Amino acid sequence: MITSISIKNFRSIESADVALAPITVLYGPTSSGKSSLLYAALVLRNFVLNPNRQADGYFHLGFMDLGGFDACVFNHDAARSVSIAITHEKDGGKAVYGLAFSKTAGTIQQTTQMLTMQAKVSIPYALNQTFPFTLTDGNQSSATPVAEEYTVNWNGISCTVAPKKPTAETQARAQELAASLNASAEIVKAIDIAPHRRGFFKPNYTTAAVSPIPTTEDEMASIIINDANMQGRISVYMEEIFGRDFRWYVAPGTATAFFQTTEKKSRIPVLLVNDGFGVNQVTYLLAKMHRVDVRTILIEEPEVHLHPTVLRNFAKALCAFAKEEGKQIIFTTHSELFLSSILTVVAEGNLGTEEIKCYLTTKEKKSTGFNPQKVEKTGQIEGGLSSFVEAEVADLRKFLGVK
Amino acid sequence: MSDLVIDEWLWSDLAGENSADKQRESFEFLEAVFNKCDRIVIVKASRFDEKAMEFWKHTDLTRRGVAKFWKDRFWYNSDKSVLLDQAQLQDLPAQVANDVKAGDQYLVSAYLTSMASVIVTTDNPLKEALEKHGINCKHRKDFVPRYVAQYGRK
Repeated sequence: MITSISIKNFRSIESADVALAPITVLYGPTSSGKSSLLYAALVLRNFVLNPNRQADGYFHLGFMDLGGFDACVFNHDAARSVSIAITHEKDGGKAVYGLAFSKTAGTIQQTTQMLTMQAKVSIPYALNQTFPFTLTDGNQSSATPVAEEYTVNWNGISCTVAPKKPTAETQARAQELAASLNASAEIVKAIDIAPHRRGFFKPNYTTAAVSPIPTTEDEMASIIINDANMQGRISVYMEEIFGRDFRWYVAPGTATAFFQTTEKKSRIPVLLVNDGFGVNQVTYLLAKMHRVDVRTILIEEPEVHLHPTVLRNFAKALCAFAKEEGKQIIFTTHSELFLSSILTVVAEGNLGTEEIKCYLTTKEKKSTGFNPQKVEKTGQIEGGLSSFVEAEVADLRKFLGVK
Repeated sequence: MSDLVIDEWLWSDLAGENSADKQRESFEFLEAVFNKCDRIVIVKASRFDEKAMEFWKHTDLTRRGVAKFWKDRFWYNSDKSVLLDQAQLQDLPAQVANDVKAGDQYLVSAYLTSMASVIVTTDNPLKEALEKHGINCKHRKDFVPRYVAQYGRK
């Protein structure tokens, strides 16, 4: 799990260190910078997936092109470096992976309990260099100190570790070390987003090639069709949330899959595209969440197109999903009900206070701030939900004749 | 910071049942509590809490607005309210219990459990009974205007 993200000079975020939990909720006024936190994680993911492109390309998120470096650097100040780093827990300690970059050069930093690695690269970077590292811990009590016994090659993203004296034991240890050192990049790769633009707009699909960052409806449909477990898993959640199941079927002799839902009460199957759009977008979202190679899912405004009753079910289902599947979910929301539904899950004892972090996102002049609001066992939150009622207080004062 | 135990008059006033002036003043009172570092003690599923719930369900827009204000600024706010489960309430001393009507006993239990600074009521017999036992109890007509004047929006 990613335990924090540090961002500098990205869009409206001049500098922020944000601690994350299995469930992290970001709320606040429109255009205060909530989504920027999500997009920053995706920019880092883009670098890890393919560093060999112009810096502007890192800002192309698949579902959205943010316009390149000049458009995204804080205050449009090209003299600044955009810096994004994640921290995660590894083997009981902290590991950090980050990138600071300008349009033409960058510095990659990786720190684990054992090693501190830093690489200065030109951008685009073709992964064709290896960099020195320093031993910070080295497991000194071990009989096989890393630096003496192993050759570590690190290209800024991934590591190979080879024993200088290969034996079955040292080779096994080398594999362990490599897995540990590569964990940070793997965690970054395992981030995905369910963006605002989501849903299935056709009655049927044929399988298509799926890119490393699938976002189109055809790609998501292909993921559902190709994963033997996906239909059942989505369906279970759909029944909990909407009281209807989800299935796809292939007409005999064709390679065309039709997506449909069946409401339990009426028992009438309908094509997903003819069901309510709330059902549709949640199907897409659940497919994203269930991708086997995804550990951290970013969701923009899960509440869209959902009735309050359903939204409450959905909030509960998402909390249960995070706990049961061990996945991390980071939301942005404008829905007071969505947040209060999650707080109710805490009050019911089904989500620990350490499993949720809430941030009121605000913008002072040019710069975004993420203000933590501590959640109590009672489901109460430090500062309350005041930001959701500010606009209405003025109306209330008028109604009640308060001067 | 003081913790306040408020009687159900708050909801009658906010509903406008006791005059438009009292409705306005009770809202100003809530705003004053929000602005000052004070908290309101809420006993879950008590008569006070149920009256608040009725506002949440009401079709009148003003009441719904008040309900949202209450929920967002107080009920969910650990800085502004002390939420107590019924099971958390401590028993009343026998002499106090004898002098207080059963329906009002939760107010006194809430006061003792949360070690609140005052109970604000419109019930004169309750006030007299509590004063006899050294419990700080004020009448709404004395407490609220003074509080609003001192801590309300200027």
